Amino acid sequence: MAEPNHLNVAMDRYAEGDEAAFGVLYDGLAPRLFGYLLRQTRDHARAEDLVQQTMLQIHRARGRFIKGSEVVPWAFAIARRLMIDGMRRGKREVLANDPDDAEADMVSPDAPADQLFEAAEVAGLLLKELAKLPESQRVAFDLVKREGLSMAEAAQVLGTTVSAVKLRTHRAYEALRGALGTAPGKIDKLLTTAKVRAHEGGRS
Amino acid sequence: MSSTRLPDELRKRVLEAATREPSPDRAAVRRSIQLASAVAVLSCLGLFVALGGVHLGTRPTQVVALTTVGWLLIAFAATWGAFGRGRSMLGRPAGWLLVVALATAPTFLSWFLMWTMMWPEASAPVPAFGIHLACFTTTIVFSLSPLVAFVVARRGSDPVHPRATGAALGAAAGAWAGVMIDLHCPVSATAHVLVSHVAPIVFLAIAGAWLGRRVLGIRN
Repeated sequence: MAEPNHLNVAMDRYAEGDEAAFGVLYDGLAPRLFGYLLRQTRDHARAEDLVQQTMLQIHRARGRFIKGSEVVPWAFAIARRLMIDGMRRGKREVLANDPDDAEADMVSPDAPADQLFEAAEVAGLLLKELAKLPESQRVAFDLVKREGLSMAEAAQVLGTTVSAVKLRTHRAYEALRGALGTAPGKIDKLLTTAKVRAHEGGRS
Repeated sequence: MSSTRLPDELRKRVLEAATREPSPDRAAVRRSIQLASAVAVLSCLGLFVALGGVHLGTRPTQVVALTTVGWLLIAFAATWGAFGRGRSMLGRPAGWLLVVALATAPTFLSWFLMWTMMWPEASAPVPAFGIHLACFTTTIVFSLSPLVAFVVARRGSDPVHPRATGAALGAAAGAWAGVMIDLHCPVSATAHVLVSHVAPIVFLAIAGAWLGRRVLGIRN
């Protein structure tokens, strides 16, 4: 996967008319968008459709891309807007993460069996607790802790301030820590496990 | 960051769809914005000249000059605040845009009141309702070309807060119209300026918010 700064360069090239750069953008953005959209919608076909719409919106608006700006928060903001509009139109409910589906993504398959079992159990609990959080906290936590966006980028995607994102993420983190009774580093460790697992899945 | 395996078929489909639907690159967008801006400026000035240009009436020249310079600066600031996006594709924060939308009209009025208080002779009797209405309508007409130019330049580009962006752009367009109407209309009664020169800015901010949701937002 291309690094974010390479994506900005690719987007800049695409804005200048280099058609081949769109493939680089797709390869760098689409898997991340798909992961995020799948967690939000729990609908594989819908998430794929939204990825397609998001990429085509980026294509249509390429000439308006500001030189030197960040493409990742912009792409996430478009995806989120399309998802919310689609749900409003279709009167779909915003679904929380499905602990059973997501549990498998949280655990590395190479871990010993007892660790695998324990991690899967705690990961399942983590996701159940995540689903109980208010939407604003859950989305902020998702963008920052799972998608790796900076606080400033997440604030731009959500149309709010950096302090608000910090507060929401912190509250989500504290709520999860309180509910799971875990040590401060445990949640990050679980999320790191998930990232490793997801990267392995992305490369396979 | 997370990533998930996507079917190769989707990649092919997206790239093919992008090839089938050509989109303007940066140079083409720059040209269309320049064209829209030129049309807006020319139509606004054309209308101003067609209506008779500057009418000082009984107003001292200094008051008109000071008011116009101040209102021009406010219009530039409002345009910079509403239309500029800084270094982000997601534009300025909603709070910033709301300040532009809400503060432009009171700033205009305060600037006007400051100078008319220093030159009380600039005040005039309040005209008939018909004059208020005519000036209000003219101000709205003056604002149309800048508003259309702003909307053309920013259409379908705001995934986060299109209403706030629309409101700020509406206020900025209203500010330019305020400058034109203040030069054109010789009536300097505070009530008239409030109702016919400043209130349209508020009206345009509201109209801009309505328009923003429909035109500036991302649509399927």
